[in-house]
Amino acid sequence: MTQTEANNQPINSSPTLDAAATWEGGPPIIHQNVALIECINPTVLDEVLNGTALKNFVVRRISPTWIAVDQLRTDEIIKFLTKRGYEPKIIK
Amino acid sequence: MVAFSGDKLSEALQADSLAKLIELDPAATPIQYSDPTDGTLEDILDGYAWTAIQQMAQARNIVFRKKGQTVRDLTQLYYDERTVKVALAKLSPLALGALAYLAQPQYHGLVNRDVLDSIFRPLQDTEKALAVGAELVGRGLAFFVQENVAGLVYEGYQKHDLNAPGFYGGSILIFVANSILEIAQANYQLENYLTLTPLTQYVGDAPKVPIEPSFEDFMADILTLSRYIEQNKTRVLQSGALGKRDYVKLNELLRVKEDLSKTSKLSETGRPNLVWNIAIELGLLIAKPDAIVQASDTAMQFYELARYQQLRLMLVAWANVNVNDFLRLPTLNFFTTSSNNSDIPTHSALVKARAFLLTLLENNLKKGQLRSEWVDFNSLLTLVRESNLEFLISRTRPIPTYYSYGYNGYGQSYSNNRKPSYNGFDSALKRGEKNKAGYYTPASLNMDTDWNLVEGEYLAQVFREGLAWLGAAALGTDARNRPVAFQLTELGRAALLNQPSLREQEEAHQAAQIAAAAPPELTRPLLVQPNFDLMVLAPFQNLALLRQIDRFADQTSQGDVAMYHLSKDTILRGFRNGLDGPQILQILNNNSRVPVAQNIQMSIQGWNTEFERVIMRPVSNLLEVPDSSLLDKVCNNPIYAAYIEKRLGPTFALLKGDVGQFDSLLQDLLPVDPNTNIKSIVKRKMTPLILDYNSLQPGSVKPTGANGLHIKPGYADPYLLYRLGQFADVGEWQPKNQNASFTLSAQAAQRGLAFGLNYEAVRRFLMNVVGVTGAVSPAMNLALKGWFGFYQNESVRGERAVTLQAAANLLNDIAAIPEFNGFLLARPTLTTILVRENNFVRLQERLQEWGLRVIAPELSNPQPSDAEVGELEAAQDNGHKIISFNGPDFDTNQPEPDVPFLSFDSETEPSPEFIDVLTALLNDDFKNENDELSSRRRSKNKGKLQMEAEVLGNPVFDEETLMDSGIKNLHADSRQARQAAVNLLSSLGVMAARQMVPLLYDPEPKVRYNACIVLAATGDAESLAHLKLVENDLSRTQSGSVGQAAQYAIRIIQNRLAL
Repeated sequence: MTQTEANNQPINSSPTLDAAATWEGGPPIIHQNVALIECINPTVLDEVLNGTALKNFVVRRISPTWIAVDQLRTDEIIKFLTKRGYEPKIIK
Repeated sequence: MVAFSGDKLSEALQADSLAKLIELDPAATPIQYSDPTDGTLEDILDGYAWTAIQQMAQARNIVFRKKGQTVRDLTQLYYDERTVKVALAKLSPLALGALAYLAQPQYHGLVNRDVLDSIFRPLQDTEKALAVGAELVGRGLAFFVQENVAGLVYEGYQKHDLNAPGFYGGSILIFVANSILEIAQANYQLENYLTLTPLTQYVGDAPKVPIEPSFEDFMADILTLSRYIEQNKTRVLQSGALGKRDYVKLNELLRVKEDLSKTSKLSETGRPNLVWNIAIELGLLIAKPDAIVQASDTAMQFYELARYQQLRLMLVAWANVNVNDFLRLPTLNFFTTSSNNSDIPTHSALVKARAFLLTLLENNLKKGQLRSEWVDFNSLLTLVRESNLEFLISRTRPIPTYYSYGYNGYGQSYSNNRKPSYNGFDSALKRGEKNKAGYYTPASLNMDTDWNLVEGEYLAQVFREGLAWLGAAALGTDARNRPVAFQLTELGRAALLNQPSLREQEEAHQAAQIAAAAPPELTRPLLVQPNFDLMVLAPFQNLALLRQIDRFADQTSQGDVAMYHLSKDTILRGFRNGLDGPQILQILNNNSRVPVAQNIQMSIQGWNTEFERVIMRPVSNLLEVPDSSLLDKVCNNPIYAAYIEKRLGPTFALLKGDVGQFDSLLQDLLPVDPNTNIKSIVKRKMTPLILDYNSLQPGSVKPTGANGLHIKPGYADPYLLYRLGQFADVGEWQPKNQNASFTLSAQAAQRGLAFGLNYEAVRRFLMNVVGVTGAVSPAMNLALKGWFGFYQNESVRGERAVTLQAAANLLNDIAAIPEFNGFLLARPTLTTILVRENNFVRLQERLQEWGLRVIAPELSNPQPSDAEVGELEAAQDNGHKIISFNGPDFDTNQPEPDVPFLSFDSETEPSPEFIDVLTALLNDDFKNENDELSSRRRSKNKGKLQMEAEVLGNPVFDEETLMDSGIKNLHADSRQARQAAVNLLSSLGVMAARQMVPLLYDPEPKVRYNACIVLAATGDAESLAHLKLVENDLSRTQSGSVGQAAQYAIRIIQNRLAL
């Protein structure tokens, strides 16, 4: 597989990447210990996802401006976002 | 840690005495013992010699009768006010002084006899004069006692005489019952008898000041430390202190730098160590195992205090700090730095000593006895000695145990008449005898006579360093650098009196005048210039502002004005430390004399907007609901809404507070649907209501088939799905059961590779989620290795070959011929050789020329060219032909011995007879080694060897020596020597088998191989387990692979065990 082909592949086959973790008529769920990233607007989120490696770390897309990312890789994420000029404000 | 903040700070500022703020170790303060009662009093008095009892009775005006009756009379009248008053009237002034000393609240009537005798010593000491302690006892007003963990010990090993108490070893104390002290206090103004020598003014040449006291410098360094911690990634050691790299860098930034070249840890430094410990003690910094944290609230409250209040709290912190300033005494030579078995004060003793000194200074100041001029240092020593001789080092030695009789508990021989010495150090100021080289050696320090050289020097040291660094006091020295005077600074006096200093009062007055005459802006301390420079005027009166500005600006200089510079980097640093743009602008606007320039405001706002484009919340809890109407309901209900921080979308909300409580509320939100019966599903835990992303459960994933991974029901949280989705393709996904299945494939692995995964990362992840019980199959493991490029530098090569089979010795002969070197591919077993197919005909011809019969079919294929040798995938037919020689009988698994010869070290040269025995052994045919006859023969040979050793009387030939020699020769370069070693060890039975086990893991394949062969002859059931571990060892030797030898040995041992 060429690099171009690899780039065109879906990043992740997780069924909950874009879909719900529950179902219609199902129970509400609390997702605990989730790492979230919020962008000021959808354009910035797209820009960050396309311009950095962040797309590889997306666990779920929550809304046009919110995503859940790999909570075990937050240090790495902060590092490359900062390097690309998107230093995130950390709210603990 | 004192850490003053909030209510604790208010209380501390209002406390009328420093002593109330210092945390003394309760174990280091004296215990108040109760008075002995009638029952025990008689026994106590009975422990005194008749002469002592007579004196007591006489002092109390009690008529002598027989001893028993007199003791009973004394017991009855011991607390009788009339007889006590009679005895008090007979006391000498010195003894009354001693009683007054004992009556001080800190002693509770219990003081070391030596201390008492030392302080209240008659001016003309004669042998006949009774010491004050003995006088108090002799007047029937006190007892000789010793103290141990159980309490007071009254009874001695002999009857107590007034001049010779009956205790043996350990310190003797004088105890006066509380009832007697009360009578004495009521009838005499005891404090009048405790005349302390007052502090006197220093008269002499102007003293030198070794360290100029500077509160400003110390505060500046505390701020520098905070700034350093904020701006650098500091490493915290296990001890909770800064590492060397950090404290050396920090020292360079401090106002007062120290030579740290001879230090290896922070506690060995002086001023940097104190700066660090004061900051920690005040709670301005908190050292956690992984980082040092700024306690912003505590710090801001501290910096906003007046300077005298700051110094007052710093003095309390100084008294409490875990810094051993005793070890910094320049005149002492330390033999140890430990307080165990030495008189080096412990932390609690130092706290007590520093607290005592501060209280003494505070009290003298309040009484007007401590003026602002230089005070004579000797007068301080006298006052401290009279007030509390043991303020630093206790004179009380432990009562000796059974094992330490005759010693004082510190290893010194002891007698009641000898005054103990200080242990653990001596003084450069006290010369001993001349040694052989003509130099004076320091003499041991006597506790009775050398107080000035130890406690006195300590007092000088705290004025020289600690109190001077804090800016509270200064030490004055003479031309020889000996202490002659001390002086409290103006701020030090203000701190001890807990009132503003004159300078502070003047400053406040000036500020009030300016505020009355000018607009309020003009009293503000900050100037913000359009070129991003900041100026803080009167920085030490505005420390809180300094600390705030430190968080988002770089300090460029500090003097009467502190200069800072703002930049994008410094503002971003502020943002990272929790500030935001509006907060920074508020600090600037509220403190600036002039309006903050537009360009600065715009820049900060712009950087703020830029910084807040992307916000990360590393640890959050998220609520997901199946439909938006349910979330509407949640958000509109005040009980639920209290847990919602923010709605993120139609079906998602960010939670706050205790998620556990919200979980119980969730039960009420479960839909009532008879078709799905959600409550039942939840109850059976088929659908969890909380999915914890941080807990990957072992056993949650089960490998199925060659490339399937199945998530068990109830375990498929989105994080696990995301992790698997990185390198596998999702198949089935059932949200209702929270289960899913994934398939591994080359294409999915490519996705993982693009993501940055490798085989090791995938293996580790699978080990976590599959758990130990569900191991990944070898096929799946190999597939993962292949797809993730684990073997990318390896290839599997195939080549056409013909298999030669013959006895091992025949194949050995063939293999030894150089002509055939290029023909032979490998020797997979001892009796098999693989020959390159295109070389086989030539080899066959040569063997036939030498008269060997080769039975081989005609090769149907023409000789392949080298070009046909290639990768495994390319070789369609890589089967090989098996050719047998018509040679002697052979056992296909049997290794063949080489030429019999055993190499010995020169000093263990064997006898000719021994060589004969070995030769007999080595000629033994291995092919029959498992038949009984051969076994007997080996035993016989072994017996012969032992006999030989005994006859020769030479230990060289005992079994152990043979074993060592055999093992040594298994590593020999010479093949013959190795073969001989194999033969020899094979004859030594199970003892050799035990020695062979470690050799199965020897780095050299030939040693492992030979160990297997020896085990074949000597091993037992225990050996089988070890051999099975090397069964798959493919390492090659000249005779075959190690694994083959192990398989051979296993088979032989199993056969033997079956028989």
